[in-house]
Amino acid sequence: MSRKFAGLRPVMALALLFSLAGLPGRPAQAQMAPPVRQGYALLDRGWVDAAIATFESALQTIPNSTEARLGLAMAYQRAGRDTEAWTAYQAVLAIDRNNPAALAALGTLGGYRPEWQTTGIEALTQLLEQNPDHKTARQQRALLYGYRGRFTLALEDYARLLAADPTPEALLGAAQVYAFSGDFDGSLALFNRYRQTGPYPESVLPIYALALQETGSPQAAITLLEPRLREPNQIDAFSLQIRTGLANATDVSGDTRAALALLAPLRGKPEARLALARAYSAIGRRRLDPSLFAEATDLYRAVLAETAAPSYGLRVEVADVLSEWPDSQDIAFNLVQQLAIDHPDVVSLAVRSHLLAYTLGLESPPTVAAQLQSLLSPFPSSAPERRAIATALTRIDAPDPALLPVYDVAAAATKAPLLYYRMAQMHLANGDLLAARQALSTYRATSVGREDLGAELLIADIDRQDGKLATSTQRYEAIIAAAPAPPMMIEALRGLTFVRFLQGQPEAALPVYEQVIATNPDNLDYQLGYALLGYRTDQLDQNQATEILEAWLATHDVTHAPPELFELTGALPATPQRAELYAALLEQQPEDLWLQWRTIQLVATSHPDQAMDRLDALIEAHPEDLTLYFFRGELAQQQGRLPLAASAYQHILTVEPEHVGATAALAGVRFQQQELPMARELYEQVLILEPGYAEARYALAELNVVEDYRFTGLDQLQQLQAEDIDKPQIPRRVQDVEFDLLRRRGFQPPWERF
Amino acid sequence: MSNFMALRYLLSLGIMGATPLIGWEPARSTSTPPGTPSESHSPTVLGPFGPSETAKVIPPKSLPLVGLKAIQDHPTHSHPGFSHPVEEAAPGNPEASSPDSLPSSFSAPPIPQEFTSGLTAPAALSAPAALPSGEISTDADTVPPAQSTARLQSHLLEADQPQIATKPDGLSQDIPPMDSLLAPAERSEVFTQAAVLQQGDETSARLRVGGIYVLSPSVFAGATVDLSTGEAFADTERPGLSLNELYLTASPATLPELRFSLGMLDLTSYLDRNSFAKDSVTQFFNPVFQTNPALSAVNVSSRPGALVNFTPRDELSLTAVTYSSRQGLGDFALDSFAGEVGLRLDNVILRGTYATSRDGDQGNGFQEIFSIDRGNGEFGPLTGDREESFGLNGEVFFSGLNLGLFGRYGWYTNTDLGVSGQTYSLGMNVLDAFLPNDRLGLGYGRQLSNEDLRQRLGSPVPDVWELFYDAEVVDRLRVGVSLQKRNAWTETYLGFRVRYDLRWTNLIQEGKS
Repeated sequence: MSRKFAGLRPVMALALLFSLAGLPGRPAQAQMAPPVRQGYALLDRGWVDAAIATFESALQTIPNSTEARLGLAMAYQRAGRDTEAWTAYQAVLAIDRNNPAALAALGTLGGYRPEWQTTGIEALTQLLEQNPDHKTARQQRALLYGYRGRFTLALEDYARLLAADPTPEALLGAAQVYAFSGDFDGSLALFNRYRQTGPYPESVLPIYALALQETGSPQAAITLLEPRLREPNQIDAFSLQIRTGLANATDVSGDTRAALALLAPLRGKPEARLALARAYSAIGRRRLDPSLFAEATDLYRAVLAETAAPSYGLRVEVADVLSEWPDSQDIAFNLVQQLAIDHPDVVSLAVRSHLLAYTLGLESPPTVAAQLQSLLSPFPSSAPERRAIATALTRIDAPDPALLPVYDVAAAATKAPLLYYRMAQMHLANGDLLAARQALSTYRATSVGREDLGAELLIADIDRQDGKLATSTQRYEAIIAAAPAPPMMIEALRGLTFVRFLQGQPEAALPVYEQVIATNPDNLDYQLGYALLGYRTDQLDQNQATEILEAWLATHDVTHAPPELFELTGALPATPQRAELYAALLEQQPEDLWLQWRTIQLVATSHPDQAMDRLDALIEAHPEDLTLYFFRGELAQQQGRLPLAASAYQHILTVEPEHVGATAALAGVRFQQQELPMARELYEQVLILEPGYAEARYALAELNVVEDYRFTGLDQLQQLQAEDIDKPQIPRRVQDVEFDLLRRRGFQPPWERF
Repeated sequence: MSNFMALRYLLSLGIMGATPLIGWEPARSTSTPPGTPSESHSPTVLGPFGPSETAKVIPPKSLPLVGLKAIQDHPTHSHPGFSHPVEEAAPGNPEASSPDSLPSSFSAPPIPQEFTSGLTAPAALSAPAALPSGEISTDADTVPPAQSTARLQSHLLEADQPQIATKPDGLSQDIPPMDSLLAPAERSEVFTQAAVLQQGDETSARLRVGGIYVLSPSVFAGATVDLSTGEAFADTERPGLSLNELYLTASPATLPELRFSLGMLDLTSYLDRNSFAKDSVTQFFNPVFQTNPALSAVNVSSRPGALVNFTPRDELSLTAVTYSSRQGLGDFALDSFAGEVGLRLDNVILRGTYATSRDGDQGNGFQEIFSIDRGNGEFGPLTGDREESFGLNGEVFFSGLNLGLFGRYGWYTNTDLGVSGQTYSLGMNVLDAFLPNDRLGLGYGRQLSNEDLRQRLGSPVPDVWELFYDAEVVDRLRVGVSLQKRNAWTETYLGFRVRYDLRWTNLIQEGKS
């Protein structure tokens, strides 16, 4: 609040007081004791201090005079001595509990300090019970409700006020509460109605700017706020609002760097914490930047911790933000649970509480679905409630399909486009591509959905599942070309990589990764994905992939590891140096079979039997997972248990008769078992399944060597060498076979064992 | 682990057994065994990193903010508070979450059904679980298949070793990278074989030491020395210390199909090879099942000479050798010739051999030849007699049964005497009959003889039935037993033998210290 504004306060307050009380200026003077009358006269003339002295001395003699007490309270209020006024008005009520002037004054003062708001609302409610048509009282109460974050109640009051010839003040208050409740179109309309009556008070400009920003005019918001930006060391509420509002609008307009620069001076200032928390969470959310978001949650938690009696609004706000961040969801759950107990009438709180329980895995999806369905019938009618419920629902990513009925109900009752997006995800999880497409097209028809690259991601995936791989590829590439925020970029890269795999050309995704990395050299997550793909496609060797992995590990905390870290760690050969990493990752993903496999491999180096036992137990737990049979085959092969290895691969082939990997693996075992004709047959089958398959060609060359078709084998090896097949041992093998031939003394078939 | 390391250590030093009598087994090929699924092609059965899979594997939890554009428009929380007089916590805007305020995480698309089974990784990834891992142990090229079980095993370990375990202290430098090329001299090797063979009451023993030194990729020199007693070793003619081989082998660099060997050659290792009946320390004990007696009679043994082999294709091998009929270099004369045509049709190998020589100083031939009256009071062959032999040799292997059959026929004539003799043998070997790497054999053979003469002399049928069993009892140590019925089932011989092999490779390391 500016000083100037503060100075005006008593005058305005008095005017408001009298109008609120619906009385003519003051109590009838004729009935007053003379000193009291004198006090009012002094007050009239503006001699406030003298009036206070007069009322105080009058109260010495007539302590129970309502007029004297009221006069003293008014005088304090005019003197700007709010605390004393606040107490004095309550003293009036002590002897006259329905005194309209005191009730009205408390309502007014209630807007001065958060801790007075509740009392102010109570006083106004009492007044409105006496006189339901008291517009100013209702207007003030609506405002106080708005301050408290009780938007449902605030909007109910505004609805009555706006229905019949609202005052400019009512319009202005309603405009603000609408904005805070998230209805920016409604807010802007009210601001514009108010504008007909006069210029905006400066104090509402940040809110007005917000309404502009959120209705598609961030530039107008910037134009409005920029000239009013104060020095960064000004940390009064208004200055903070201007600064954070400007930062927010600047970010919306696309210049995140400038937005963060505006906020930077506020860091470390306790007074600015909440404003900064709000700004960081907004920008972090918008830019999908976990680090900003993490910072915001820390600030919010600090604010909550240091606020003695946090308001309902603050508690809900903090709970909401914390519930968006996995690390703080448990705290959010406790907050929301307590809020729901304190405010059983607010359905959205119960809804949020159940949803958090679901997110945290405390409740099963069907249980939560049943609870929510009963909570939501009937669906709450209050607009803010509906919005809160819709938001809570949309916040859950890829919800369990069991929740689909809840989303159906919510989508029908609210206008939250993203619900359709979530429904599409659930339909996809159900394998219902058609329903998913329908839900997405509903989403895409909204203004939000139209702009949303996330929807494009989902459509690309549906295309992929529909087998439209080329279309899917194009969509992913278009998303990547649009240079979205990192999290979406990475999803697009993953999607593209996957489709490229399905197309049989995974390495085609590598140049895309390279471009993205070239423009974002600092984002090691992209490099992780690149390393994984490159390593899997043999374009990067183990050392290169390990280097990237280690660079990532050196700068990141594994507790927020992207999927690529799990995969790359699992893909790279087991090494004792990473034993701790395996353990840390397995703690997060106990079911990650590759990481378990790496651990088992480490065990196998010292306790082969124990390793096999662990693998057996794993297979018992996942008998359907063929990967595990590969592991068994490999471990058995390493331990020389060739029949066991063969049976593992044969098991895979009974399920997937044309599995190239299993065929090649079995061929390898047969080779080792000296079952050369069988090995040959299997390798030839591999080449039928996948012509040109270098490994099988190489294996057949080696088979020829073993079977003493050495010249043929040598030719094949030389051919592979000429083709530059990536088998580093080939040149050496060529040399070996040439030397074999030099030493050869005739046919030396494999059955010739000396 | 320690066993495993020890094994690896031994292997890296190249202590490997198996030197066939027929000339220390030439390059038993390096066929690299198919290793374990090597890391790079581990079955990637889990989907690669497709979105779908990640969705499953990694709960969105780890991507808290991954999201939709819509999120960006989330208006809440950052709003300035109301313009109201209070400096403290501006009223938030709790329920504020605006309509389109967005949810945090958009995660990967759901798991496509097809991947949940776990088996659908694109083939490119899921591929080759097991290939010849390619890594070649330094000794690999000379290890006969007989040793393969152990070796393959070690191979696997080696292949995987670097990935799993840290390198053993002080060992790592000794092991050249598996894919590095070798300098010629690095392929040089030394081997030794000790064998004791007891047949009836006759004991033979032999210590054989040999080696090769490789001069260039297409030239190497070799030598073998025997110290022996007894007569069981057909390819070691004399007891005591003898030079079995000292030779140079070379091949035109651009024509590996053609090879020349010069020097003291063990001809038995070039001619009349047979996988089931050739070597008295590997298969049958009785010499009739070793090199064709008809060929042995014409000095197909250890002789100075020059040999050429031409192998135009894998299925055809042509060998010609000119050699001295006498072993000693003092009597050196290129008065002998042998030629062989070898033909391979899958698992069938046929060899036809012709040899002509002069009788050396031993005056040998078929059993009854000594009864031939030369007319001047002399009987039997004389040194310098011209001799000729033909040999036919066939083998077939049934890999499913691990069963090998063999048959030999030989015809010998002393042209100066104008008499000839014949010999034949046939039989079978079963490999891995009871134990891995063991061998069980049964054969019937007729010594070189002239049937008419024999009947005239009333000699017993010079035949042999032999049943033998040979197994590796511990690493590199083999033990064999034999039961023979000779001379028309009239004589019984029990046999017993022990054999131990060592081989050192990787003795020379060039450019690596």
